[in-house]
Amino acid sequence: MRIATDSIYANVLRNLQKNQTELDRLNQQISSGRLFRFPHEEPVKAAQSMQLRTDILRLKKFNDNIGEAKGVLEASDAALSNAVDLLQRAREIAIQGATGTLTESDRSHLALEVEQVLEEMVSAANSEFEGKFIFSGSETLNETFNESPFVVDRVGGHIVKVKYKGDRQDRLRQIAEGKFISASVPGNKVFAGANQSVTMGFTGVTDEELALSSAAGIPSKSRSGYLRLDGTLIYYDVSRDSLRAIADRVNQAGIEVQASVVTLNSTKRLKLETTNPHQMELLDIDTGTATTRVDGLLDDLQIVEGTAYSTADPNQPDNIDPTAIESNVSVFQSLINLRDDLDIRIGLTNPDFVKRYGADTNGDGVGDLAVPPLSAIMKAPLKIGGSSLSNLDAALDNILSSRAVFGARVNRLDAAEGRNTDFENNSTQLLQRVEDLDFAKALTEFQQQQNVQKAALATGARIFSLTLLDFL
Amino acid sequence: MPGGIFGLEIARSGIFANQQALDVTGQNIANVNNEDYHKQRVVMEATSPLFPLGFPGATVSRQIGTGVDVKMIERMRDLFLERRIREENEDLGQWAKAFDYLHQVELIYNEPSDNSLRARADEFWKTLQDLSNHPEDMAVRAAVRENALGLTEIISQQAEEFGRLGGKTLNTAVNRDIKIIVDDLNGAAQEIAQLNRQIQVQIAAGHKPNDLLDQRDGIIKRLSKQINLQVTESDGDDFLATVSGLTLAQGIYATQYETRLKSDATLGIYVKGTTTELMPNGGELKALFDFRDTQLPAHIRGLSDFAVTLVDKFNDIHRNGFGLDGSTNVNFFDPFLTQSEGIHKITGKTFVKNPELALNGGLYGTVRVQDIRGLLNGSANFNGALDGNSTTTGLQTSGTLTFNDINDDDLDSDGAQVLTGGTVDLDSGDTSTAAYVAYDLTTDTLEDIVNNINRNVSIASGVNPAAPTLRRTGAEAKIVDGKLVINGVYSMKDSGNLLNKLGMTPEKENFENTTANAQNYPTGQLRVGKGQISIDQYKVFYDGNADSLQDIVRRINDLRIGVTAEINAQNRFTLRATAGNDFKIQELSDTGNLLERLGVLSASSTFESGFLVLDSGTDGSAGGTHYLDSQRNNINRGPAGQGFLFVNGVDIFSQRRVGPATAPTPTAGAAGLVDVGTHTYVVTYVDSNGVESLPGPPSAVVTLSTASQVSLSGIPTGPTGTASRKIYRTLEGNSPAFRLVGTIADNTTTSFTDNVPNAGLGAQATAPTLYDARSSTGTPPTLPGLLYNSVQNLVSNITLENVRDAINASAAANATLMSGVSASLTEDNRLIVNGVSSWRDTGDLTQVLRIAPRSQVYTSGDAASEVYITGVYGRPPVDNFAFSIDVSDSVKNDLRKIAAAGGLDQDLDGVGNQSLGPGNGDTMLKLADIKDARIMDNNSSTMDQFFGGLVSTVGIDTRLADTNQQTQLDVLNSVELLNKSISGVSLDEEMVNLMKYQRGFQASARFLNVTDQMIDVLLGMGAS
Repeated sequence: MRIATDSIYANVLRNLQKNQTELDRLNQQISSGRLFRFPHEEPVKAAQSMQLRTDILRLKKFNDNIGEAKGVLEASDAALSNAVDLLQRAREIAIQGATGTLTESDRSHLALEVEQVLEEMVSAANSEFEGKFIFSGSETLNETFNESPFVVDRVGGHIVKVKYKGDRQDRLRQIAEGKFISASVPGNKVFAGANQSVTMGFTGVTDEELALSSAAGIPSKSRSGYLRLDGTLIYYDVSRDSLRAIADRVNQAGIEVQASVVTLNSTKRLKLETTNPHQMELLDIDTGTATTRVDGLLDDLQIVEGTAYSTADPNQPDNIDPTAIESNVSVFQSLINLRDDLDIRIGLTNPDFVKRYGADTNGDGVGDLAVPPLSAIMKAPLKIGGSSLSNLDAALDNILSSRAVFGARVNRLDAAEGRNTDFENNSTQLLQRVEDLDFAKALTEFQQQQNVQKAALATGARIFSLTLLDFL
Repeated sequence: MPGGIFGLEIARSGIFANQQALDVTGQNIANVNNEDYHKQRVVMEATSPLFPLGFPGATVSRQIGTGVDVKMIERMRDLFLERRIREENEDLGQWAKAFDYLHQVELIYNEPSDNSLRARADEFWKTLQDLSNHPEDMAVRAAVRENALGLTEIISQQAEEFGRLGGKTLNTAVNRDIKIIVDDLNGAAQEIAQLNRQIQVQIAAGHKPNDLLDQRDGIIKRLSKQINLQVTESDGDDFLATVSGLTLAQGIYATQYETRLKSDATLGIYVKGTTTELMPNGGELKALFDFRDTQLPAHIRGLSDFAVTLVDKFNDIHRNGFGLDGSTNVNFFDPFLTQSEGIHKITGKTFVKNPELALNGGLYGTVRVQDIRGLLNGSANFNGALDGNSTTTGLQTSGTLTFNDINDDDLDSDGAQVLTGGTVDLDSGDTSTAAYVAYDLTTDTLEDIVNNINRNVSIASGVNPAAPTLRRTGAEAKIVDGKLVINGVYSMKDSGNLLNKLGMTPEKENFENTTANAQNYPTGQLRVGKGQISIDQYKVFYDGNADSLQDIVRRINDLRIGVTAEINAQNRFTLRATAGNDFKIQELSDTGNLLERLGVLSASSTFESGFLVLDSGTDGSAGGTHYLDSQRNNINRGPAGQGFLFVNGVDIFSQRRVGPATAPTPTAGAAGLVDVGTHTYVVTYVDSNGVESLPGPPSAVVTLSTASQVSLSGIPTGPTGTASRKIYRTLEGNSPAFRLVGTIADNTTTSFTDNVPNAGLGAQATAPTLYDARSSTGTPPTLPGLLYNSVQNLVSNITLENVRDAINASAAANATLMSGVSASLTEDNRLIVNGVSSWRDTGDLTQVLRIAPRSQVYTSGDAASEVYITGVYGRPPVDNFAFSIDVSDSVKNDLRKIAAAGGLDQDLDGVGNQSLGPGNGDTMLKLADIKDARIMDNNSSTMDQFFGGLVSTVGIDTRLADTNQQTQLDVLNSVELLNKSISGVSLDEEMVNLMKYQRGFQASARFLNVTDQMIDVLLGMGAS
């Protein structure tokens, strides 16, 4: 074939440029350590690397979440461990106080110590972590309570009641895709002690099978609505539902509350009892408008008191109607009871104490005379070794089980963290494999390319010098 | 025998020929580096003998030629190869240009790197997690806001960069490139024509204009890179160069092109001054068009799809959450609904309590029956089998289940439910009766009862003696896990207590779906029949008794039609058009009643693209003006009748404002001047500019038996801006001729005394046609105005142009009310109206034009319009959404408004009423979870995957362009090499030629010399 002169030049030039481009590419790769700069160089790997980078960042974030959750859980556990110590001390005092040989002044000394334990217990329950209350559900900020989630009522400087002002929400943390874990246990559970039970105070129901509207004294007979029990809405219709029907519906709601109908003094009473120690949320919900409002069912049945339908009843959850029969032996209550039993003089200033020892005229096991007879009060010290001690044990059990829950959660977190870390490592390795350059290969190629370039330059130079002109 | 002189002639021709050959060689050498140059070669030819054979006196010895002649100077070229070069050049141009631009897109995505949209999005999602952990922390809230701003910034920045590259504006890089190429094309066409002219002249003069031909070939080769160029070549007049089928240059004529906006607002290339459009099918121009019209839009749309979905999903959940200050229903991002982005989204109004359960209200037993075939009563079996708390005593032995309010039409659409042997046609619309299922527990098992309900047949012997007929219950019973479930129940009574004992109804009571008791229903009260939803002609079947909303959503999404269905954060059904369907829902209809019950469509209306859609108000953004686009281009194609059309409160056909809505009350008073007879009054408003409104409805008739005064009371007062009011009266009765009685010069007085005789009345009212129309129908219209009428044989027959002109004229006459309103017709004669804030049509014109459904009244923020669609159809095009994505002002200005907490839904409408607390992060967790949700590409991929897909698409496209470009370069080079081997100059060859021709020259000269000597000898002989 005939070769035109400028073809020779053009060919050499083009090949040199090609080599140069290739050298530049390899040089870029080697100097950056990356296999590609632009997606078009490795489209599939580019998409892979994007996803991997996202994944890695995400796994890191999950582990951050886990770290934080563990921090909170450990702080909670520390607070509870303190509470356990306090309860054990109280238990020792109770055993000591149950000894018949103690004098009254010995007991009042012990009562003072219990008072101290109680104060400590309240401050343990109000523990904070990173400026937020631990045992308050999602009400984590000071401003919600003015002071703290557990507030105390005092009479004469003595604590007579501890109220919980937090809510029952868990604080969730995401620990993996679609997996959440609660990093808290709300205070209404941890410090609940034994199971809470509330029996309605309303005495007008005689037939549990008949619609409530037939009962004497139910204010509005054509009312229907909702009550809220531990966050679950339960429908009722007074004109249709019997006490039994309402109890059934509560039982089918899938909450940790068991409802039953009990007979007291030949009237039928609704009894709500927790199946797992916690303080129940009991609220009447208003679904009507302001003008159609009527009292709520819980209020009518004298289970709760006052502010009907208020979704934000300020007294909640300590809104039990005074005529309702409540058994709520929280950690604090068992300490208060112990103290009162140890020192009757303090006890007599506490309305609850009076109630506990009042004569039981209607046979429901709870005193109902305003001023209890002295003979009953004198039995108080005898209860120290009995009900006080068993209440303390129940409280201790409950706190220990909360601690066990924390322990189990920390284990779950550890496992999740390990899994996330494994994924992260794998992803990082994969990312390296996808993005990073095989240096040996690149360097070899570079070397090769250099040789090609040298050869091309050399032959180019030779070819250019070959011309007939030189021989003429 | 030839003479000596003859030899001299041969020598001369040899010298000349070789000299010319030497010149050509020199020319070749000189042009060795000229790209366009074709090597030239001298073609020599021996001249004819002096005496050819047959010539008188011709002998063999006389056959010798007369020397050599340069026949031509030939350009060495191969037409086939040159055409190939053009073709390859064209492909190279296309791929190289494509690569340049696609690479730009790659650079905009900036992947892989740590400063890309993906990286910003990752950061954003990460801080959402932080906020879910620390919802009460202001610092973290600030980080969420900043990262959100970072994300919206990079999205809008990328959208802007895409736009600059090749978006829908004129001044884009692509369009600039196109213009440059067109200019180049025009210049080249003129140059070619010019060259052709010169070539013709030269050829006519017998020359061979090789240099001119070289120039022309050079131009053509250069152009072939830019566009598909075909050359039909002959040297003369017939030279024809075409670009993509259109002439570029023919002979001495050049075609000129220009760039102009096409009807779709993109830049097109046209033959200058004509509508002939150049559609490039090769070269750089094709690459530019492809990039602008196909490749880049995919990315612009993708980015918008990303932005739209992000904003929509995010806001949906965010609105349902609660801020630190207890605020709720706050948008996190500026919603697209208010910005006329043209995205179709339809959200139903109905709250569906449980999307997982069958749509129709159902009763669910809670008590399990162990042996469903055992007798229910009188056997230990039933007693022993009842679970838990229910008492086993007190079961009545018999009763009747009464299914009330049977509405067949709702439940089936098969229309063939006549029961043989029975007497009732179930589809006859017999809705007022009940169906009965009697049970007797001494003989019935639970299974028997189920069968009786399902058999749709119930004989209620003795229960309903008045009508012991067969009826279907309309319900569907089944036993699930030993528990009785009855679906499709609307209301039901049990005369016994079986259902109560089975844990299904409250207490010995009826189960009725009245409003008050609606909450009795476990699943809601939709009462949906069977039917088919049609979305853009794709059909989805449903059966209200069997399907849950979730099932239907799944079925729609399985179609993968670019319209996604979902159940939003407030348990409402939502349809949203995505980029896959051009962000539009063209058609939506339902043969049954599902969409109506879901609050998506109003009864018996279908949605068609082009509906007037006003803001829903669900996002708190009622108001604003709207852009309407009709989908039909012909009024008379549909059955449009007559009606009044009001735009922004102005009757567009009379151009005047709506007048009073009420009429004054006339009472005959004391003796006066008003003529005897019956009279009717109307009132109009006049504003400060003297513009008079339409008259109000005519008053009652007042009858005078003697001439008296007439007192008018209750004269309506006009809207703000009314300066005076005019009162008109008929001469007598319902006469169409209303005449001016007088003017009330204020806007407060509500009474007036008429004491004007007929003779003293003023001008006739200016809108008499209204009353003509009224008297012809006999019913006074409640909304006065000028009737339009599209029925051919009536006078006021209208065309689409009439409507356009009427709207524009009204807008000009009512600058205040109709500010910004303008109407125009598109190229395909669709009506477009801008700036509408209310639209009211008493007829069906707007429906026929597919602007709005029949006889609907739309007012901005009107709850009724929400029933239809909560979206907006308008401009600018949806592609621009990514431009304007931004964090909402509420969130920008108040960090507490970021909704981290979940809400408690106390009134069971799907919307939370109260925050779960400052430490609650439920909403934030849900928001962070959007990242993992498959919400893109017809709900098949996550946002990450979608975005990765966009990047890898451009990666693959760019790679393809790059590879093709390289290949093309190689192919072109080898073809060029081949071509050069023919037309290129080889210096060595020319050197050899140089010597060859030099020798030839020298030899010819020597021959001359010899001949000369020979002549000398001869001459010498004579002299001696």
